[in-house]
Amino acid sequence: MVTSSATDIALEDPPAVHTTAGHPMIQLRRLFRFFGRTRAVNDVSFEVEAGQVFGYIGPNGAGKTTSMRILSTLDLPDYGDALVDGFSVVNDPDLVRKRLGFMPDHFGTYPNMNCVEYLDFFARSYGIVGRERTKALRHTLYYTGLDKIAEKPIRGLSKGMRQRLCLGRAMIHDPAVLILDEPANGLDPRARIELRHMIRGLAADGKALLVSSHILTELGEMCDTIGIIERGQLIVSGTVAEIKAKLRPHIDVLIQLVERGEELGSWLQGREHVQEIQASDLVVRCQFVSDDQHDQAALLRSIVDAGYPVLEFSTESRSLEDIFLQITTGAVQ
Amino acid sequence: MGVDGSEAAPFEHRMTEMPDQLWERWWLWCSERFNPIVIKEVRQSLKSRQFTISFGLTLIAAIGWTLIAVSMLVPRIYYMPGGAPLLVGFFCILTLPLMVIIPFSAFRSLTAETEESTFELLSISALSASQIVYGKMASACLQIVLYLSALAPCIVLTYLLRGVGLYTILFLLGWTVLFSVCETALALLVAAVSRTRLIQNGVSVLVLAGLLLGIFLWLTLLINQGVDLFGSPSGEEFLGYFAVLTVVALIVSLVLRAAAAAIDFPSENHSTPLRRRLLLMLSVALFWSFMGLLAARQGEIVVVIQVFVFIVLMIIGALMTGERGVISPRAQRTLPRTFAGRIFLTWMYPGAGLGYIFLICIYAALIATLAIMEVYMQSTSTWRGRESGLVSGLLLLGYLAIYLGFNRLLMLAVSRNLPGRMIGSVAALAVVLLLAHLLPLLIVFYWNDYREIDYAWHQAFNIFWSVYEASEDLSLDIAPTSVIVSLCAMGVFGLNLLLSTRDVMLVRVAQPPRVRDESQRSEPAPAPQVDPFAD
Repeated sequence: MVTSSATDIALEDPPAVHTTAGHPMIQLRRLFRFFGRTRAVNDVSFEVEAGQVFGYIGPNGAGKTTSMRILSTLDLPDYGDALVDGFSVVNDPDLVRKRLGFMPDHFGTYPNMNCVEYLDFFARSYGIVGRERTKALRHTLYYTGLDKIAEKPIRGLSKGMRQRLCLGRAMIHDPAVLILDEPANGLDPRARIELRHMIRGLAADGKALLVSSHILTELGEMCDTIGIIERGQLIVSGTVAEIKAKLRPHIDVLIQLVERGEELGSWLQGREHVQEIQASDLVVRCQFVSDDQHDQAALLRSIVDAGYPVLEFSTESRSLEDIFLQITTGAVQ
Repeated sequence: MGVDGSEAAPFEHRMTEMPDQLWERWWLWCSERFNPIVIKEVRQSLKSRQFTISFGLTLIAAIGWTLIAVSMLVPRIYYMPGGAPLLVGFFCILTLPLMVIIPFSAFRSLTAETEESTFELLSISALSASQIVYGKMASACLQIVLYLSALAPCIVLTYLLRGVGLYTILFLLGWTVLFSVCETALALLVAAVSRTRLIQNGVSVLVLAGLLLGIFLWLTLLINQGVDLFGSPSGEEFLGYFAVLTVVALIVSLVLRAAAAAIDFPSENHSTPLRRRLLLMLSVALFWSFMGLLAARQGEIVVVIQVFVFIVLMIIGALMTGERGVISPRAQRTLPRTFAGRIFLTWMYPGAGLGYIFLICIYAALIATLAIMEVYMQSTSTWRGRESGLVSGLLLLGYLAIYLGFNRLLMLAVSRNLPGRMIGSVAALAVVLLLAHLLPLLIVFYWNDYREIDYAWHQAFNIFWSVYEASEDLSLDIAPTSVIVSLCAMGVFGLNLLLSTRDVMLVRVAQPPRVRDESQRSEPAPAPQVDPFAD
């Protein structure tokens, strides 16, 4: 179940995949983090189940990275707790680290090492030995597409390749939870598509992923659920469709005709699911209060059956960017 | 499946395959038991320009000095001992990498982890903070071994040329290595404490200056005293060197643990391992001091021990009183279970108040032990001491209780989450000490119209003057001081004890079942029980 501290929007339960232990893989419980008078994280709570990708969205300075750092055992909350696979990041950070892979927004590499040495070092750091280590290295190098440049020094890698290497480092110990802070930052379109495939592939393997990004269209495509944070507070969370439905419970419909636009406007008055009609000679705009596509199809059929010469019937869908702009104010602390 | 959805293709690389040869497998098995940081550091060092240049230059300098010195000594070299000047030259060449380059590389190695943003990646791996610090230390030791082996043929040549004994060579090497190890440990501690880039840049200059001063002093001593500095030591001197070695080893261990504590996760219990090491280090140091006291039988040694331990505890206490004073739930899981355990072991747990009481108890135990030893030795005819050891000891105990206790009370007013709280505590204590010593002096000077003044009760909080008066001349002047210091010490200690009751009252928190299961799973399975009487 995805919960939000923003109680003004009640959300339905998304399809959840539970672990054998029966608890969410990521759980933030009333998390607070202050820096002086700044409330970097202010009462944030949400949960992410196994096999889910959670998109964490917010303007710069909203508190995304701070809460991700707390989840990754790099910082302590002032109040509240965060659990990874049921283990507290405050009280059992060692157990959390075994289950968690974190990819920060900076690269963090050793320039004079090569890719395979870098991954080998982190495999050893996670206590992976023997055949398990060679297997983990082989799998990670192949999965991230670094197998062809395994011997290449890190200082000679492009930004995209470094991102892959960092993702490889985060997943070398096969963690159940992956936290990726701005993974698509600075990547070219092809690399972004590949990253999206990687993330969906990891989720399909049953991992829980928390991904932050500024590229909202991509997040909308790869995430099962999203959470929007601003000024340290989680404003809304849920699936993209749910949030769209809750924030704007109607669809804007545009009907273009060859003629008799104003007549169609009058005809539409009082029809089921139709409201706010604006008609001109050739164009009719209205709001359709149902997200069922069969209802939309039925309306179109009835207009055509009534003999109106319809040229185009389109619904204006709202992107994640529209939602983001609607519910955030752009205010910083 | 790969990124593009393709099936896994055969991919071969020497590091992703298990080796075929048995010895290679054995070597791999061994390497997997090493600290990963050592392997990383070795890989990085072998590729780094800094190591290549410094190692190459050291070799060139050694060969160059051999050629120059031998050509200067010819033809005397055939009939006169010529090893001494050669040895001084080699040590000058060797001390630069050992006492400057290696410690500074260790410092840079840890600070670079912050600069390159890799420190956080290490923190979230399964490596503990101790493993990170000890790994850096081990790689520095490995470099020391490399430099020593590189110059070993040259050192052997000095022995073959006669003029220097084997002991001299071994002791010079040993002391230089010991200094190098101590400097490296201190450099790692400084690197661990200075976490921001700005501070690191400033501190790196100070570290380099300190290292250069160290090498300057060491080489000055070596050149002034000549290579006969160590000669051939007697049995007692050997024991003395061994004593120094054990104490230094424990100090290095304490410093490295402190460095690990500085970079560790805040909810970890850093205090208990640090206090255990401190207790062990002091016990060993005191054991050797007592041995020295028994051998020398001089009263001054008692005061020297008291003052030395006082200074050490004052420095450590200044840091301890700056602790956050929060026993995390994680640390509470390990609190003593029994009544006796709670009485004797709670003081080892995190918290400024508990740390303060721990230090005062240690010092009180030391003063009591010294007093008993003094009384015992005075009963023997060979004792050459006076009766002033106990008074100066009690005064020092009082000062420790007053200054650290007052500092702890001051730090209660500072926010627990303030960054750099420990450094702030040291600074606060320094200011308090300065004011306590200077203000009475200035006031009395002013009253006396800036004329010379004598010791009186006004100087009750002047540590140096009071202890000097107490140890040199047991006049009546020290009596009011003793009363003032004792009363103040009891008051401050009592107040701190009262304020520490909250920490003492904390009870052990049970480990969550899942955490317990997980811990048991990671432990090796117990060996099956075999009944020796079974058929």
